[in-house]
Amino acid sequence: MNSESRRDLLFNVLMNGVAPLVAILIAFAIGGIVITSLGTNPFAFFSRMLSLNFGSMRGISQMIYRATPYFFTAMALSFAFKAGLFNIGAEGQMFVGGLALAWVGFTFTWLPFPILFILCLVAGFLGGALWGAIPGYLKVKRGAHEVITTIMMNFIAIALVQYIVQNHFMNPDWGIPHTPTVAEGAYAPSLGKIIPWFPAGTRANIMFLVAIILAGLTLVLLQRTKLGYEIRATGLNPNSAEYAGINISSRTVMTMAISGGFAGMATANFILGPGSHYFLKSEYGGIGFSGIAVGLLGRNNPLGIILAAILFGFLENGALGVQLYFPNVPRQIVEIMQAIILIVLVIVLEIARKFLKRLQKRG
Amino acid sequence: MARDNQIDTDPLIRMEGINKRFPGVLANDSVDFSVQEGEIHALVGENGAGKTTLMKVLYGIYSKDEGQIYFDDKPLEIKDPKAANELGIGMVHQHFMLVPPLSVADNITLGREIAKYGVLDREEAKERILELSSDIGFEIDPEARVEDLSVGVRQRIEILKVLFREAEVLILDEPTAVLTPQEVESLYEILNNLQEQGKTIIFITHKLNEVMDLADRVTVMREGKDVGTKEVQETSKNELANMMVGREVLLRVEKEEAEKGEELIRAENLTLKNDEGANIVDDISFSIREGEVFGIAGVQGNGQTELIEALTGINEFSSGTVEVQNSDLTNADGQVIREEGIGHIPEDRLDRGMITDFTVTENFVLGYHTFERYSSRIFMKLRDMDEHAKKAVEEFDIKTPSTKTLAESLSGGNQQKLIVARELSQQPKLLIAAQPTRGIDVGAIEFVHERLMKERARGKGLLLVSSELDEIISLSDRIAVIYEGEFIGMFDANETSKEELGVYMTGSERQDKEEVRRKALDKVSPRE
Repeated sequence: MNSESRRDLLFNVLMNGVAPLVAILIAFAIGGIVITSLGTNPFAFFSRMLSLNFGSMRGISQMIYRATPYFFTAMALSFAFKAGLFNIGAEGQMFVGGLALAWVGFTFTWLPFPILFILCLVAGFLGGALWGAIPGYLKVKRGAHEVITTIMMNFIAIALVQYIVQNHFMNPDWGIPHTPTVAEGAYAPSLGKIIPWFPAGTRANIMFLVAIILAGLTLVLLQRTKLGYEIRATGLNPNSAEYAGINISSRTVMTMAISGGFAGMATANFILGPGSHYFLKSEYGGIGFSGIAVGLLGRNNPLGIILAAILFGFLENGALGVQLYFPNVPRQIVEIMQAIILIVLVIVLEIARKFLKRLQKRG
Repeated sequence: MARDNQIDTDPLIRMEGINKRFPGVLANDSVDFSVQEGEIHALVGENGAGKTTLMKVLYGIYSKDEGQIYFDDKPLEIKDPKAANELGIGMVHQHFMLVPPLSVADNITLGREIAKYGVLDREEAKERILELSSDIGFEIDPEARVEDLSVGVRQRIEILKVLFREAEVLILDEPTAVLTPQEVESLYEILNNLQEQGKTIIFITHKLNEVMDLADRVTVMREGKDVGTKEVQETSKNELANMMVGREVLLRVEKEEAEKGEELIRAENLTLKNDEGANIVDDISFSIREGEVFGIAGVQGNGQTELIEALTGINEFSSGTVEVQNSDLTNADGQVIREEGIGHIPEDRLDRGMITDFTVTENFVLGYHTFERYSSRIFMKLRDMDEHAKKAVEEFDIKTPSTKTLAESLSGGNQQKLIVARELSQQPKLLIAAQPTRGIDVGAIEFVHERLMKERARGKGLLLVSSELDEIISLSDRIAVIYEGEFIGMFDANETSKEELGVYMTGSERQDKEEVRRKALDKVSPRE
């Protein structure tokens, strides 16, 4: 191995492996300090969390169930990032896509599984894609920065979805606003039905496998297809992409659409998976925003994102269960830790970058 | 220019046995280097020869691994640029370190602000700057904002910044790389004035003309070693070029008589307006035949870039027609133009010609990635891409660890070779080349020139834009001078001179408009 590829390897290991791990460890340490200050033994707390998640197949599948939607919103961030775009609008794209997929699910009720299930996913993708394409279009035509427009589109989506559900789909007797339930043909099979190790009836469902397949497909798309080549070229250097005859406007809109499409499928886990089978807006709030953290923690790499999503699932699922054992630790401790991971990660990455730079200077 | 006799006295700065290692490279290999007080000393060498590294060691940016630096015969350590400043050493970097929204005065005083009772004394600063600038012979408005100023003026600000810090020794890293010929002239004047004031100047360059024009002595570096120091009066461009490359170099291009064939491209009445409605390209017509090189000479910023980018599909003409062997390519799509067999070496290597975060292979197909040999409807043909790239790397002698290496880690010369390799490998019938040898070293220049001439001999056409008059004259058959978007003179390359073109380039003379058009369209050709 020559020195250059050795340096690349060091760079990769530091930035993509060591830095996220250090950030996670520091977040646990700080979380531990907070827990101690609340009068609870942090080791007992975290080991309970560990056993709740990994102690049984039921724990593992609960963790996977919680992790799955994060994958989709994180992919939304990272895919756009590959093309040099910052899609902060996964939250809004998730809501629009979620309503779209629920609508298909409770409208075309005569369709059998898996046709309806697949159609629902397509609808979710298209809904999110539409919501993502709009900021892309505004950027290309009007030069509006996508960070601003995607954030604004979040608020529009939240209000719009609420309005549509309350005024068109809701039955006043239900109390809380949600859509009608989707037909059985749209149900996402529980992992318990597919993989023998998973407990029967677990809420972890096929969407987790869809996530893994999607991660693989995305890698193929970016690295092996003409479209992926053009998307990466546009992201890395729009001037050179223009020189190469690439239509950067169309690639920008398309990237935002695909990115939004990923986010649009995030709620399929809840709506189509085992559970209530309807679109309930209040259940999904924040998953789009947390996706930003998951995407960054996964270093914008599809496989890294799966691991990061599982960590977030671990924390969330653990928080729900651990409350029974340590009632004086509020479950928001997990949200604090998620935030700390992100903040520390940014700092650690910066330190690693400086370290590598100095290494380069020293020789 | 005063060629003084201070050479006999002890050197002001002496660097002995400097070793500097980077991962996998010995950037400086026991280099000895010394500078006399009051001289202009050129440091030349190919890209990657270790010139900038050596100067960064002297300026305290890099720490040396071994060796000793003496200043006024006293051994000392220069551990950071601040220490260098205290010794009176200042450096003007290749990439300017200015804050664009701030005024000239604020930029110059930044970090050394003049204050009275803790309040900035801008009047005093202004005066000091005016004084400094008139001392070395130019005028500057201390209140102008840097972002409104040209590159040439920005460089003067960098020089003033160094002088303001009371530097006695100035290191300039490739100071002319970014300048127009006129700006180069005035830089020469400034440096000569500085020398008269007793300042010592070290400048890094790879342009041998500059060495001959400006320097008293020259040190040549090659592959991290110093190959020798010469009195400029006692050496020649050829000798220096050979020292730099380590073999015989042809500075003149061998241009054989080429058989001119059919007309390849005919462009008529091309006009391109900018957003304000001004003509950036103004009623330009020309034609190029097989085996012919059509050169466009002109000072940067006179419409060459826009002309070329509209010819190659990046931009659009407002009016006019472009015909390539009877098919209309006016404002055609970039892909269509490439399919018609028109290659393009863009003037901006890094911000047009390649994607530095792409691998060598990925860059090798940039622009041709939709061609059937590199992709099917959906997928890239990764194996074919790589195979072709490997062949090109070998044929064009591109120095890279592998085709999977990112282009950013290639040297400038090899990046340019990669672009030339890409365009020539597609066997274009017409190649549009802008500044094909800008910023690359003598060896690579020779290579690119040879390849371009080989294409001409094979009956390919070439549209060449360059601000290097030597290059234009030695490669072209016919030369047009462009000024403010217009062709204002047409010349036969065998019958013109640098001086004549230079006069036209500044717009102080022009030929009859109809005459220029007729010659540019080659109306004496047998086809007419």
